[in-house]
Amino acid sequence: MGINSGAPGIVSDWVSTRFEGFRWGLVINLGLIALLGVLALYSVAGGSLFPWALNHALRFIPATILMLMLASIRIDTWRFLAYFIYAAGLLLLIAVETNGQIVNGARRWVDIGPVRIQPSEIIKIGMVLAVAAYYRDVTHHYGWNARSLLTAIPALALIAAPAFLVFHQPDLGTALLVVATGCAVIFFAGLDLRVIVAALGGATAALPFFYFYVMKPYQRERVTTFLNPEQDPLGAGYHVIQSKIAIGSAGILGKGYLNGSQAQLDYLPEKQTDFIFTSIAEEFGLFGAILVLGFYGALLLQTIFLAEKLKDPFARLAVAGVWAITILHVVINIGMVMGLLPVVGVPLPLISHGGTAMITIMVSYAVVLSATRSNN
Amino acid sequence: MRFFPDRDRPFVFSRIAGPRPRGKGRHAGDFLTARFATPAARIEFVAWLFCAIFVGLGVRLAFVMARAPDSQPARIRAIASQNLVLRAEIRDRDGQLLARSVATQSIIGTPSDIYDKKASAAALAGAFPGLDEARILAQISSSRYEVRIKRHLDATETARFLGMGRGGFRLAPDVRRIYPGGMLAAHVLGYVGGDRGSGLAGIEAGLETRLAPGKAAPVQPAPLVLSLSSPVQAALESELGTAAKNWQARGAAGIILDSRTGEILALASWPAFDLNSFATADADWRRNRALTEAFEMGSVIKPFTYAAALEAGTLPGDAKFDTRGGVAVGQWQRRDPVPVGPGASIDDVLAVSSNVAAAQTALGLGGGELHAFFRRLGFEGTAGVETVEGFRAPALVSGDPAQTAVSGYGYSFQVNLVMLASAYGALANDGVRVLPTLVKRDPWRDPESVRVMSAATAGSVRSALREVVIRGTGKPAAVAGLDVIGKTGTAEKAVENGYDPNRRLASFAGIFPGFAPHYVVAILLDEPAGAEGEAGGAAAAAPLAARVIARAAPLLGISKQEPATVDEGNVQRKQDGESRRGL
Repeated sequence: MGINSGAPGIVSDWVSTRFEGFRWGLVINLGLIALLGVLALYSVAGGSLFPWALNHALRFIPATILMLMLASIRIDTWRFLAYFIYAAGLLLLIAVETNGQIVNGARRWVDIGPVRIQPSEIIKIGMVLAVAAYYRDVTHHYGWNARSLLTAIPALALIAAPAFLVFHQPDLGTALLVVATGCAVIFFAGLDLRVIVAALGGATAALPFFYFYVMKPYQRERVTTFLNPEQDPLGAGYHVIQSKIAIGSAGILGKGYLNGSQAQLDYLPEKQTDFIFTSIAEEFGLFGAILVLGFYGALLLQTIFLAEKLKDPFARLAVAGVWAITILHVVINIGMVMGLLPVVGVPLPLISHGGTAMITIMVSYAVVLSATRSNN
Repeated sequence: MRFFPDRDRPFVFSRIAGPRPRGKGRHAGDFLTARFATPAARIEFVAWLFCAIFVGLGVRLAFVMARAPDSQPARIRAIASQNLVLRAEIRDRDGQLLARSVATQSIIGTPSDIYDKKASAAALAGAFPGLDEARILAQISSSRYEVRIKRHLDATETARFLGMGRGGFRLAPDVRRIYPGGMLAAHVLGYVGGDRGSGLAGIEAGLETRLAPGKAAPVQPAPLVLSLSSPVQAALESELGTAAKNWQARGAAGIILDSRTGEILALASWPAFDLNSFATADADWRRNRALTEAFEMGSVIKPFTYAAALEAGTLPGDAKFDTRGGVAVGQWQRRDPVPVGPGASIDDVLAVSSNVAAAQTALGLGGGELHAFFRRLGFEGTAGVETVEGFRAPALVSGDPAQTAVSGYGYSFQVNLVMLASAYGALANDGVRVLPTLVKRDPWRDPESVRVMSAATAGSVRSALREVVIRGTGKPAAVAGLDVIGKTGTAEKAVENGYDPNRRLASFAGIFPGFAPHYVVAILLDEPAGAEGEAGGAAAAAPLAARVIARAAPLLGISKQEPATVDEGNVQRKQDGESRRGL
C-alpha cells in the first residue's frame, strides 16, 4: 500500500508504525459485506432508505473508524483489557436481568444513557477474549497444562456464567452460540481430545433432559417445528415455510432487485434481521446467495489463515475465537432460513440490521487486526 | 495488497496428515493425540471441517434454488397465497346456477387495540341485534391476537359498522357460499364449512380440488357444470316427498339416469334440507340415501339373473318354467305363494316375480358365473360418482348353492340405488353399461363403459320387463303413451336374526320410453307403512315411478306414442301374491 511510502511527519510515522503489514483486504471485505447489507435492507423496506438501510450505512462508517482506532491497540493491551470487557458484559447482562427492556417477549436490551444496547452481543467477544487471556495467562505465568481438564474448568465457568444469563432472557440461540464459541476456544487452546470426546458423549446423553426439563415450551415448539414445520403452517412453522418459499421460488438469478414478493409483501417475518438472507436469495437467486457465502468464506479464510500463523497464544486464540463467532453466525443463520436448523435468533454478521451486533463484529475484527502485529 | 497475506504455504493437511512424529504413534490413541497436539494443527483441522460445511451449505442452496418453483408442495403454495380466491360456481346442465361464492365482510377485533372493551361490546351488540354483548366482551378480553366478531355482513350491516368508528375493529374480506336453489339437489351439491370454506359433503367435498384448486389457480375456476337438470330434479324431489309423506316412510330416494351417457339427471333423497342453513338440519336428513344406504334389493335384481343365464346360454330364450314344486338345495327350500306353470315363459315368471324360477335359473347358471355377471353390472365396489359420499359394496363371493339361489332373486349382497340404476342402464343401452356421473359429459369424448351383455339379451329382458308393467306387478307404473318397462321389488330388511317382514323396502326400477329405451328411473321407499302386500313395490313404488316419469318425460323432450295393443288377462296377475322374500 502507499500509506507508508515515504510521507514525512509525525502522522505518517504513526501510521507507518501502526499499520505496517496491515490487513487492508480484511477491512475491504468487511466493507463489502456491510454494503450488501445496505442493499438488502433498502430492498426489504420496499425500496426505501428508511427505516433500516441508511441507518445501517451511517452506523458502519463510525464503526469502521472505531475498528481502525482499536486496531492500533497492542495485542498485549487487549489481553489486559480482556477481563474488564468480560466483566462489563457480564454486569450489563445482570442489568438486563434486573431492569432490561422487554421486546417481543424477551428481556434483551438495556438502556445506557441515550443508547439501547444488547449485552448478549457484547459478551460474545468479551467471553472469547477472556477465555483466550485466561489460557495464555495460566500457561505463561503458572505453567498449567492447556491439555488438562482441570485447566479447562475455570474457562468453562467463564463461559457458563454469561451463557446462563443469556439463556434466562430467554435467548436460547445466543446462549448456545456463546457456549459453542467458548468450547471452540478451549478446543483451539489444546484440551485433550479424549476429554472432548467424552464431553461430546455426555452432551448427547444430556440432550433429552435438556429438552424436557430446561427448555421453555416455546423453545421446544421451535425444535418440533423445525423437525416438521408443516405441522403448524400458520403458527410456529410460518417463518420457515415462508422463508423456504422465498428461497425456493428464486431460481438461479432470482426475481431481480426490489422484486422479491415474499419479502416485499410482508409474508416474511423479521425480514430485516434474522431472515435477511432470504430476501437476498429471493432477489438475487442462487448467484446472490453464493456471492454472500463467498464474501463470508473469504473473510473466514483470511481470519483462520492468520490464526494459524500467529505465535502469541492469546492472539491466536482470540483470532480463532472471532473466527468461530463469525462462522457460527453465518452457518446457523443460513441453515435456519433454509430450514436446516431450528429458528433461533442469530443474525447474519454485518448484513442483518442491528447496532450492537455490528459494533461487536467490528470490535472483534479490531482484535484480529491488532493480532496481526503480534508476530512482529 | 494481497487478499490472503497469511496464506504463505500450501494449505493442506500438512500438520494433521503429514509424516508421523517420530517416537510416537505406538497406539492409535497416541497417534490421534499427537496429530492434534499443537493449536495450529487443531485450527487447520477445524478450518477444513468448516470449509466442508460451507461448501455443503452452498450445494444445498443450489439444490433448493435451482429447483422450479412449481415443485413446491401444493399446501405450501396454498398457504403462500393469502388472497381470497372464490370457489367455482356450480351450475346444472342447462346453466342454471346451483351454488356460488360471494365476497362478504367480517368484523375482526384486535383485543390489544381495544381500549374500552365494555363500551365496544355494548356498541357492537346494539348495532347488530344477533350479537351477544357478553360473548363479544369475552372475545375481546381474551389474549388472542385477533378475534372474529361477526361473519358475512351484508351491505347495510357493512355501512352500519363503518359508521360506528370504533378503534380496534376492522373489516376483513370473507367468502360466503350461497345456494340459490335452497333445498334443490341438496344432497348432491353438499355444503362447505370452516374458516376456509372447504367442501364438507356431496359434490362440494368430492370435487374440492376442482372447485378450489388453491394457489395452483390464483383466479376463480370456471363453473362446474353438473349432469343434473334442475326441473327434472325438482319434479323428482316433489313426487318423492309427497309419496314418502303419504306412506309415512322412514326415507326415500330416487334417481333418473341417461343410460347412453351415464349422466344422472336427477338424484334425490328424502327427507331433504336447505343448503343455506345446513348446520341446523338433522344429521339424518343430510344423508344421501341413494348413495350411502345399501340394501339387499330383492326382486328388482331378478331381470339380471335371467339376463346372465340367457347370455351364458344356460337358459334358452323359449325356456319353460314350472314353479309348482318349489326349489330345494339340501336343507334350504323355497316355494312361491302363487306358482305358475307348467310351460310358463320368462315373461310369465317375471310378471309374477317368481322367486322359485329366479332361484332355479341362478342354480342352473352357477354362482361363479352369476357373480361375474353382477360384477360387470357394478354390484361390487363403488358407484363411482363424484360425491364424497358413497357405498363400497364388498367383493361378491360365491358360497354354497343356497347362497347362489338367493342371489338369483336379489339377496345375499347389497347395492345402493345408484348402482341399481346404473345396472338398469345396461339393459336400456343395449347391453352396454356407461359408468354413472354427476358431471355433464363432454359430448366429444366417449364415456367410460362396459359391455355387460349382448344387445339381443338386453332386448329379450326388456321385452319381459314390458310384460311386467303390462300385466304383472309393475302395472301401476304404466304411463299412457310412454311404454314404461320395469320391475318392482319388495325386500324385507335384514335384522339381527334374519329378516323382518314388517320392515320393507319398496322399490321400482324401470326404463322409459320403452319404444326407444333411453332413461332409467329407480325409486326406493324405506319402510312404507302398511301391511305386507299393501305397501310394497307394486303398491307404493310403482305408482310413484309412474308419476315421476309422467312429469319428467315432457321435460326430457319425449313424445308420447300410441300404446301397443296388449293382450291382457292370460297370465294371472296377483299383486298381493308376493312371496315372503320376493317381488
